[in-house]
Amino acid sequence: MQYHAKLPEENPNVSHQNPIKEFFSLLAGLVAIVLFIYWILGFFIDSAVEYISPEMEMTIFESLGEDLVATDNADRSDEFKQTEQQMRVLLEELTQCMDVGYPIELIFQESQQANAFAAPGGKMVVLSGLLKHVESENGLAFVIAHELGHFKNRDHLRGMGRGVVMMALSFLATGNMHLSKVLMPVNAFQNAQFSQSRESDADESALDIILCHYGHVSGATEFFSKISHPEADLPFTHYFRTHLQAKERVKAIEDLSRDKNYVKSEVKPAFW
Amino acid sequence: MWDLYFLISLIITGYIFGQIHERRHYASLKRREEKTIAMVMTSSKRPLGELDPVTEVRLVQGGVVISVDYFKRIVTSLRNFFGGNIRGYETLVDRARREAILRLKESCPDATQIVNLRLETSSIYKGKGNQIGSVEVLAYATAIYT
Amino acid sequence: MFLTNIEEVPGKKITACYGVVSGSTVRAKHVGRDIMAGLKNIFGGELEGYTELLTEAREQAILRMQNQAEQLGANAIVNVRFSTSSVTAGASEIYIYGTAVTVE
Repeated sequence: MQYHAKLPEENPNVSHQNPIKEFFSLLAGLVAIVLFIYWILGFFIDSAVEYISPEMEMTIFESLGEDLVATDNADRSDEFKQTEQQMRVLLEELTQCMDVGYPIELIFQESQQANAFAAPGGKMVVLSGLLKHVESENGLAFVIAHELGHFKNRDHLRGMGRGVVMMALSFLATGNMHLSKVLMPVNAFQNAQFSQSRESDADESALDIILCHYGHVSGATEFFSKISHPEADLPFTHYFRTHLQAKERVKAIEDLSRDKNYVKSEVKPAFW
Repeated sequence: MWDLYFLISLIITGYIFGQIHERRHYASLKRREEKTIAMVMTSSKRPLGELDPVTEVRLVQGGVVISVDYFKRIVTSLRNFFGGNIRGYETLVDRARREAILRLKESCPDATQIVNLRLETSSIYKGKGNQIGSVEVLAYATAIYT
Repeated sequence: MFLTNIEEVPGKKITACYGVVSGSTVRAKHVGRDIMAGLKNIFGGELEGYTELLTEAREQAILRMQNQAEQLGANAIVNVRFSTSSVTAGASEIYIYGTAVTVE
């Protein structure tokens, strides 16, 4: 019997496909699916939010809110508490113009930062750093009215729902903590686009509230003009911002006031 | 964002070094296979043909453990979603198997025949979850010296 | 091409031998099969998805081994052995090896 020693010319045990092409085509497929699911879920979440009545939200988040905004009354000065009280009066007046369906509690917190946010359960937090950047009552009123707009549109619920669902989806799809990080920019992009449109809606609601309460819209853009400073931008980062840049925001608000023929007049001085 | 940059750099590094290593390994395999091509090796239990008087019989083996690079691991995660052939791992086990057989042959260069070749494959766990990254192949056979 | 897992092809004589040939594939399941398997883990029964996956993989491995044998000029493979192992999460490697021979 003869033994023929020979090597096969072609190796049939491996696929001859460019690994980079394979990687990108798989990644593109996965990103497309994730985007599609996000889009569909967006519809479901939006309709679900309509069904969560304000009362339901209050009961769910009552306990959460306690921990979120724990305030230590002992440290606050009388002046501080008085400013908070005046802000609460302002909020009450603004609520006459747009009813959000449940009582909103305003909490004034000491902080270097200039910001205000809406938390589920009907709590609005205003940080004291904000007061350094507004000069008139109207400016502050716009910020509060903007947060009221968010409450009215239930934006915080929508955002929270989407965030949780997307993280869960990315993890399920890839089954791997590291790979789900690859999908992070996709999530951030979708989140930002969703957020920007919500912020514009809230700005629009805020303008309506201000007009209703004061009769004019002067002072609305005060805060944004003051904090507007050009930030060094890497290309494409503006797609991932949850808010528009301050300058763009000012312009958008001005355009909106002009389109709706809102008048301007004298602003009320600051009460702090 | 830094997390993502780190991940991307890991993937690129894995790809570059993985490709370099794979190509070099295949070249080395081809060279060594050509050198040892004359050695008679079968997976049958009986030796081929008539043998001269046997002087020595030995159990010989060759083993190797090869690991994947990060790029291959990411592609595998993606593949697990869609299904299909995992090209990266195919080359991995192919290389590992040929390497193990070559090491077996190189351990007994003067053997007349090598019979009853058997191969065993197992995976080495990294420990964290089920991220298996390396493959161990063991080849063993009986070498007959006449 | 004859494939046997005994030493010879019964009724035929081996005239030439070409050494060991092998075929292997590494296949991954996809999410659909995974979900079905998860459900079956609760209800029990055959995991048809996985059976199908492994059958396809085995057939592909056999084809590859035959391909390699043909390239060497053989017309039968004797002493064929199979091996299955998992090389990574969610994927399994099938390989099959045997001795390529010419029979008449």
